[in-house]
Amino acid sequence: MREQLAKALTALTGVLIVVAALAFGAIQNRPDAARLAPVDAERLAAGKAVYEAQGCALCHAIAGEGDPAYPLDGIGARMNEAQLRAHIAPAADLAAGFPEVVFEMKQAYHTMSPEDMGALVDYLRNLK
Amino acid sequence: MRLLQALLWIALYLVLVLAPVLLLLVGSVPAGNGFWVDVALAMGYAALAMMGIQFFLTARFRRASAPFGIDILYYVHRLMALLGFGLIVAHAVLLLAAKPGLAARLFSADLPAHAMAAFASFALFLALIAASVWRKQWGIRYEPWRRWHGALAMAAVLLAVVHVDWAGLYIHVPWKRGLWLFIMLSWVLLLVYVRVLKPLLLLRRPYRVVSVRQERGSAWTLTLRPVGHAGLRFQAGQFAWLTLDRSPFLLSEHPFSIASSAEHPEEIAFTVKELGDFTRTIGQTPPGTRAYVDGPFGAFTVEAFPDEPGFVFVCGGVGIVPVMSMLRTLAERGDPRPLRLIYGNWTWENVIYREELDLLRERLQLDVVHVLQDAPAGWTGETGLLSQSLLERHLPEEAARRVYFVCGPKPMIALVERSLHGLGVPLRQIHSELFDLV
Repeated sequence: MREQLAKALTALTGVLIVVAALAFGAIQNRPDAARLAPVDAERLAAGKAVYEAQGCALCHAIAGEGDPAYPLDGIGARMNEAQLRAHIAPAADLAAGFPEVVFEMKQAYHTMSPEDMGALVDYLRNLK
Repeated sequence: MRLLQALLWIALYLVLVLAPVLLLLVGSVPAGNGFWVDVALAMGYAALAMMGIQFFLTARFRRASAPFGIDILYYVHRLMALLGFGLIVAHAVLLLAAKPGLAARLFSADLPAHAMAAFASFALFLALIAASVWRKQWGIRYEPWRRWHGALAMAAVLLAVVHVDWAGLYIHVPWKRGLWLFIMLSWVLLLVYVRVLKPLLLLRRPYRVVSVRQERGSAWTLTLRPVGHAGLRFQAGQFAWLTLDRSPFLLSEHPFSIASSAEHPEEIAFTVKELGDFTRTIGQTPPGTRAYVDGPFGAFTVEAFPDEPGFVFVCGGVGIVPVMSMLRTLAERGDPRPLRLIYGNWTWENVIYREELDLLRERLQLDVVHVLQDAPAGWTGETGLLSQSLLERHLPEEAARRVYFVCGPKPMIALVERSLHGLGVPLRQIHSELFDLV
């Protein structure tokens, strides 16, 4: 009987893991409309402040201000939230998509607080 | 109480498997990688969490094993290893299917280091599981297998941790990376506890073999006395890992049921049948041999049922040993409850403890039913398998109220459990001991 219970526990563990993995995939790949809350002016200002505090304009430009090599005007129309996050602080497997120096430099943004990251992303996705 | 403890441990197990995966979605979370890629990643993380917990399942913590019996924990260990490996395979297959470009890179020169670690880890897990599933068929001896099993497991899990860390997916935030490394390394450190700390503790509690007695049926009883300590307090029916004439650091221990009475911890006896490479020479153990005993373990004991009206024991061959410990203990305590032993053997000559069982009938309310496969001429008793019809003839009145202990070869246990249940005995009243731990 205990063997049957052990098999049942193993099956239960397997089912729970598969369900958790499917949920993980679904949560991470929700349509943006469902993920993004509306952005108010205060939130945009907070995001802009993060943009300035992080020195983003050293490499990027918005409305002609900053380094024009990588303009961000209209970036919100080209990238969704997930892509923006991935470009601000790319994970290791995205290293091939960036020049080595740029990738290394961007690793520092992994230490940004979730609040700052969220505000920055909201600011950028509203640049349409 | 025992059921509640068991449920709590099962819940803790499921939390330990699933929580580290769901933790990846807390706080700062990177962009999704596509549905099936993320499903594959979550399966990979869960598989690694499961493989880490394997070290806990086999660390022989008495508190964790008490509600289940350590034999079943080893059984769960084997099942979970297969499930974990299945998840690893699913992780790889899903990734390759969802990212067709990956397959092309697998055998190219620019294979990332984290993928190499994954390959190495996969190969070690494959070797580990294959050598465990087919150990006997491949003729691998228990002792070297055991040493290599731990070393390979540690290497495989560490390489998987390296793979996860270098891939860096979902653990880009320092606290997540730190927590994952901490959790995984904690599991691996349990192996250090098992292989270093535990043997050190055993060294401080040595035993000496004081006698080696031949029993019927190619079995031997080794009696040990503690040296410089009070001995082992155990419950009748439990077992222990025995090391003979070797250092406990060499992992030359083997699990055997305790045969002696729990009333006498100052002298502990094991009855061992000549079966494998270690047991074949056990009868040649000279008195005075140094020994170490790691135990006691197991939940196969009458002592958990002080208020039950009586017990029925169904044994095959050397499966009598833990039952003998229970009978000897009950006899010493003058237990008045009705007991029935249904004892299957191949031949009459091979019935271990045959004479002592006759003596115990005089001290206990004990009925013994011998069942032989190959009965001698003139035998009037039962013959054949321990089938449902045979059990039906010999179960006591109010059979459903008795507690049953079943011990013997695996097919026998399965047959007896099914038969007893078919005769109306509730499953919760039936307890069995799995002999084949590894």
